[in-house]
Amino acid sequence: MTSGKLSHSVAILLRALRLGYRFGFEIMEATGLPSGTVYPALRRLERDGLVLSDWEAEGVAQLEQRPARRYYRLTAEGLEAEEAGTKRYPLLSRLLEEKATTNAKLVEAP
Amino acid sequence: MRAGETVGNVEAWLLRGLGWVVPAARREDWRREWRAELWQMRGATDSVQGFGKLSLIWGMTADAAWLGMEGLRGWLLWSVRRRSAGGCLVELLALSGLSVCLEWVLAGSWRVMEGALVRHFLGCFLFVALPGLFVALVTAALRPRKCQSKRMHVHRVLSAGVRWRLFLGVKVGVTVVAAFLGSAVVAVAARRVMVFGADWVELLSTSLMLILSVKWALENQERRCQHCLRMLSQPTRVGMASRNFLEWNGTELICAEGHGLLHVTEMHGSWCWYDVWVELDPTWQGLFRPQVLRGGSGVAQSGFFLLPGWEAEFLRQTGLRRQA
Repeated sequence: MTSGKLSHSVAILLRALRLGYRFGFEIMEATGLPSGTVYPALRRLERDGLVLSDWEAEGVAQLEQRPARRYYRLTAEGLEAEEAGTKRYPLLSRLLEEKATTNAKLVEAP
Repeated sequence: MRAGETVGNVEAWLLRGLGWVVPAARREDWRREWRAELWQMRGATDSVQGFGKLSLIWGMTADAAWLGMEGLRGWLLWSVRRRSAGGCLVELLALSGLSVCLEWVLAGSWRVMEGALVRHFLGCFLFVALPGLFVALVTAALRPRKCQSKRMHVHRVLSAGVRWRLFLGVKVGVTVVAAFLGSAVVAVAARRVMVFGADWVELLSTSLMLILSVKWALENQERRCQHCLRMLSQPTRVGMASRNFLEWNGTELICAEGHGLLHVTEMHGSWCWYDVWVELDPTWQGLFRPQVLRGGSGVAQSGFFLLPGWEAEFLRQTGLRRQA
């Protein structure tokens, strides 16, 4: 996906992932995008290789007494697309705040 | 905590119902993810403003629909590439759809197009259809199929013979429709550019299209596996023509799924005037195991070429694996 094809919604999603929001509901809350946009967009980004997903460890979820979540993270290509999106939509950097608890695995390890 | 205990009855019912839209390979994963998402909303109801249950259910529906469409698109592409019965019908329907689009462009409006189609059907196609079908049937080189095996895979809902005839009937029907629509396009175009003789062009093009397309449909059936209805491949010459009196010679085609071989004799005599379908028993399956894919992105050694975006879906659906 090139920066030329990045829609505003996708750019917001990528920005949210970059800032540490990692699953659908959390991204919805942070961005204010409707659920009908967020979930299909995440699937599309995953299909296009900009995002990877994996399941949270069952042990962690059990400790917090909730079902395991599916976490999304940016790939290297997704990171490039996010930077292109932020350049294209400069106000995005002001729209979203960094997540309070920064996660260690925000970006796929090179 | 078990995921099944985390959602209410309505959500559980929706998860079950919408899950059927999602391709089977991804269904459980999808349900598991959505159980977690729904739990999240139940836990955060007080603090979340504007994200009601309905909103999330809409997201769930959109997500399932997107995955369903992706699955359908993948299946269509995969069917066409495998040259399966479904793929064949999809191609014919796509051709019919293209003809309708062309017709609409030429006619300018639905009303004019409808009139042109009715005129073409009543004024030409109706008279050509019966003799055309007769000519196609009597000139097609149809030979009875002789099968060496009597078991013919009866484990499916419909027996192989019924599926064979059903597919043939549907294919011929769709082919006739495609021929009708295609010839209507030619008729409309001819009327637009020709002052005289458009009727003759319409008659000739309709006859030709109908006869050739039905002949194609019948001959296409001759080259299909009798079990899975996919096109047979890898034609191989067997025997020598100069020894025709001593031994069989002709062409052998094989089903890529390993269901059987079709022997097409080179010279039809009174002792061998049919094609022989030799069904392969399960001991042959070892030769037809899923192949390991090698090479760069998008290129599979098995001969299929996939766009990069489809490769993951292809591998997921077929159970093949990529070797580094």
